[in-house]
Amino acid sequence: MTCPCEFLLPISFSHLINPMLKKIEVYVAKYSRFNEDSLLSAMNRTAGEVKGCELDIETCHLLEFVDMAYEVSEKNFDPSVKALVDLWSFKRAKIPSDDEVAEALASCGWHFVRWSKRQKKIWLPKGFSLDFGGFVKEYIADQLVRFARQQGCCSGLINLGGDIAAIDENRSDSPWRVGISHVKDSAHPSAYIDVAYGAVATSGSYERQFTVDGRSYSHIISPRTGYPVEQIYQSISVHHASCLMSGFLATVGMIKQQQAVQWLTSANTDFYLQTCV
Amino acid sequence: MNQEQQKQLAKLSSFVSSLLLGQTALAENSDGKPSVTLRHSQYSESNMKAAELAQGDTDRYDIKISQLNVFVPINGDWQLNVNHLAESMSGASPWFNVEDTNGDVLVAMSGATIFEQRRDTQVEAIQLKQDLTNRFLLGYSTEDDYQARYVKWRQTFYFNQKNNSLDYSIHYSDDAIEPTQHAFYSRVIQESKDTKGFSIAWSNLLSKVSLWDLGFFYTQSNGFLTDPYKQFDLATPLDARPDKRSAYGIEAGASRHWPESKVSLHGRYRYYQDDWSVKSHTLSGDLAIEFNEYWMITFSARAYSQSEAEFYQTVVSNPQTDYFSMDYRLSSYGSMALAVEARWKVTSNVFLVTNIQNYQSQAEWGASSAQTAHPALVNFSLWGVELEYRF
Amino acid sequence: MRFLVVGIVLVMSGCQSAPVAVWERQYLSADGMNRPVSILSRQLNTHVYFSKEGSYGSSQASAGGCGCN
Repeated sequence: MTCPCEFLLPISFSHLINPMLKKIEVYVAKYSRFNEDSLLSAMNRTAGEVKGCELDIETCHLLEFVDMAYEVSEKNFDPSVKALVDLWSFKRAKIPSDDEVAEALASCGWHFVRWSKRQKKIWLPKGFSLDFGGFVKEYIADQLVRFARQQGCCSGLINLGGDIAAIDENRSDSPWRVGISHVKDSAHPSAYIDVAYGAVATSGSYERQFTVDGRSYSHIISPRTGYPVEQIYQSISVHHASCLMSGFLATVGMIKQQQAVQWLTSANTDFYLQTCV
Repeated sequence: MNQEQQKQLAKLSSFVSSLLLGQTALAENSDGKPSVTLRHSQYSESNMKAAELAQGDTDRYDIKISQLNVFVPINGDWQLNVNHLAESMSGASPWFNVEDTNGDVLVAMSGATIFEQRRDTQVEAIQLKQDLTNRFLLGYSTEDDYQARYVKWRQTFYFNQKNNSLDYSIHYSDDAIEPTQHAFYSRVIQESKDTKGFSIAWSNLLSKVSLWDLGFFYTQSNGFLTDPYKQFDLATPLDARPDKRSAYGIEAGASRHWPESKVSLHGRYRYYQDDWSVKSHTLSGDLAIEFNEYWMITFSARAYSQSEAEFYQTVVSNPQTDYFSMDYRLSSYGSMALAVEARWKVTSNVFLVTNIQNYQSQAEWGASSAQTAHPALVNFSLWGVELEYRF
Repeated sequence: MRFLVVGIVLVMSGCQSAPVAVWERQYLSADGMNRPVSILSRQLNTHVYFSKEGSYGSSQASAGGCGCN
């Protein structure tokens, strides 16, 4: 993982740090698309093959989550849009043609992906590839919280690249104060959220974007149109019971643009929006 | 506000919570769930032929066995496993052998029908650590004439991302023997023995579908190892064994799974040797077929062959040596056991298991050239029904 | 014990195939691989063979000691 990891733990639980790092390593080895040997790479490699790719039970549960998330977000949450993400890569920093977008859009769409919980298998259509980057980091943060609690640790904070999960099980009187980075000045938070439980995840355009001819393009691509979202909000932070849920709500909020507030309100949770100036 | 969306989001949110709490069966194997298992088994030995009997009853042992297992995870680190077993047995057992005028060997069986009860309770605490599992076991077994207390400590050390494990154990057992009817038959009044030993085993994943293991074990018994019931009277002992026995063995096993057909095959071999010069070979195999989520059938076979103890004599007519025994268990013989087991997952919580085994012994299958075959080699059948409930 | 562990690791590493990742173990954890025969039945068998045959002992996890004849 290329993002900073921060653990805030009571000193008596400092021995958990190494096992936690190890857990992250295992998950990265399993779900990273940069790792040739990962399960995700194996899934992508077998795209178009009849025999499909074998899964483990944990991945099946994540796919169940994706199924539900895809539906409830009205197809705005879709891990099969890797082709689009690659096309709009900020490393390429080039605006693709409409034809290119249409072509990439043809190899995207979660409803084309077939998988079976009973057989523990997935069959990706030819040309498809998946990217779990949109939710695995959040899932790992939740798993670390679970691990820490199992080990008897009942207070602390886990920060995986800006996604922050509290280990605290009970809403304590003294919540953690989590700062939201300011768009222009990441050293000075523009706001604070009190986190006594659950997690805060942020989806934003300010960290990764590219500018062509004075116009900046978000790295967040709408799975429905195939184009980067228009930047109404610089970032959306969501506070929810789990990091996985917070991250999902924030990401979809960014894609929903004008409907973001309506979307986040129906999730019945706290959120924080940073608008563009 | 969209009510439908709100409902769907609430549903997704509760799914995520259960996913993260591991309630969606993230624990792939059910090892972490509390369970209660009840089993009833019936063991019956084939009766002796009247023609081979010198005296006594032809009915050999019949045993009814009830077993209860309770497994409770205490927290993420500790689990408790309690086993209780109660046996009630009736029937006669071989006492001694005699030669008739034709030179044929006949068996004298214990006359009166023995009726005995045995109870065995084991409490095992299991400690799960990152790459280490500790098992502490305390056990107590009691019969009318016998008490055993035993302890065992077993540690499994995993490494190389749990591709390998090293497992070692030590155990100790303290047994007290108080034969019944000792006044009438002038048997020993009270004796004791103890057994201690260790084992070490290595296991290794070979691929996604196969693994193997290799192990070594050693046990040593000290004390009264003679069979207290095999005496005629004080002047005529019919069984006298050394007061020490040390044994070691090696064991190797391999398993393979075929995902397309959902078939698993297990093979295992054990070599055993002790200082009474008993050597044995045991070869066993299990073939498990998972027909679907609900049904699994396992076929098992076991072949066993042992050589005789150096002081074994089929008929002890005039004991001149220090040690002698007419016990068929110390003779040269072999056995073959075949078993089949069916496992039915009735619901996601309830499992029903039934199995049956047939065990046949033959002197010709022995590992050393036998003297006259022991006429009382054991043949038995064993069947059982088991109900498991997982919470 | 540590020396023993190291010794065995060195010996065994010669025949070590590619490690099996944690998420690739669904077959190894299949019921037929883990529990081909019920545990209580296996414990009972161990006890019966122990009390009816002339040899005993195992390096495998099984029922503990026993008093029997």
